[in-house]
Amino acid sequence: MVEWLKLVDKARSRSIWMLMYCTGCGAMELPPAMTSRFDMERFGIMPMATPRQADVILVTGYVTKKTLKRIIYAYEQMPAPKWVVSHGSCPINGGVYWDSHATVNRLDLFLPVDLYVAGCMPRAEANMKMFTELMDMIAKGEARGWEEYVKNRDYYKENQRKLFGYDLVFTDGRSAL
Amino acid sequence: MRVEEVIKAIQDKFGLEVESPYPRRLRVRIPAEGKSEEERRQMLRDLLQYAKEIGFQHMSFITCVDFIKDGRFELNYGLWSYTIPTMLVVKYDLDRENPKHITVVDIWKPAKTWEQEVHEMFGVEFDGNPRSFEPYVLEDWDSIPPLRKDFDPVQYLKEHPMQGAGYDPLPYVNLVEKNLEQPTVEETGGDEGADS
Repeated sequence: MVEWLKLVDKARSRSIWMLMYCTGCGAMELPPAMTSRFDMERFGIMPMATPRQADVILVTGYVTKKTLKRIIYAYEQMPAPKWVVSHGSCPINGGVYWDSHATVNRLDLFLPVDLYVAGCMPRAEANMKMFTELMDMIAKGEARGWEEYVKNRDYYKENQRKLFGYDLVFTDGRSAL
Repeated sequence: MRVEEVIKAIQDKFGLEVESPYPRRLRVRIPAEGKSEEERRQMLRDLLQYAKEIGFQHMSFITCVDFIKDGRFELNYGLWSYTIPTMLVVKYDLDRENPKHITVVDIWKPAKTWEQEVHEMFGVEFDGNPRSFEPYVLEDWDSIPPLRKDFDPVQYLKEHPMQGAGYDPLPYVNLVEKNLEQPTVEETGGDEGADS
């Protein structure tokens, strides 16, 4: 059974579909990673339009309070296993927008982040390193942020409630998650 | 119509000085003195209507500048013409303490959105544009309008610790204040606060 799961993890690491939801300016560095010079599709990494078919969500830049709501909605629609990559310095501590009235400084208070890429902004080489690192982590079974989110649901939901002032609820009345 | 003709037409019709600081830019200021609020508003509307008639097809922007020392807001109405081709900026001063103004939506439809934005970022009320009271980009905003000069973002983050978490702003605030000392009058030659 354990061997079988290892094989599944290995297979998952070679077919990462990332959600095409990009915040801020870091998305500018993804087209070089997609196109012929770096060509991330050789690793099986592919952009995907809907959260329900995606495996990884890239938060590519500053996170405003308004955007974070959409990120959380998108993240909770994704099927497990799912991963969050924080890209650039803004989701880590606010970056150059640390005193903005609109941005949220720390992403990891509200979502479980598996991997950080530092830099303002990270170059395409750093992106490729991030993708290979993420593949390694998935193949070894180390990227377990989605389990953390379920285990520490109260912690994350409390933080989100403190930030927004109310519970996030889907439009059909269902509570998020 | 040529640029010189536009300058002359506005001067003849309204008696306003039109300056051209650099090519393809014209600036008109509605004078703040010597006229009642009603007359100045009417003059602004007449000028915007007249500009539309003489060939300015496009309202590019309405922006607001906060001159907190002078106690005024400056509204800038930007009109672009594809045929002349020139940008005409009409400047209008508002009282900062009581920023009430009228809408120009019936003349220029894009003003609906621009006025909404100015209302959200500066708190200027545009009488006659109901949409200007709806939120534009900010959700659940609970403080004074954020682009006013007396809005303190660091204080706002202290009041919203979940949003400002992850950064202890104090050493950086000291650093910023130390580096951004206001130049003295001797250094600037008394030119500070020069008009845009």
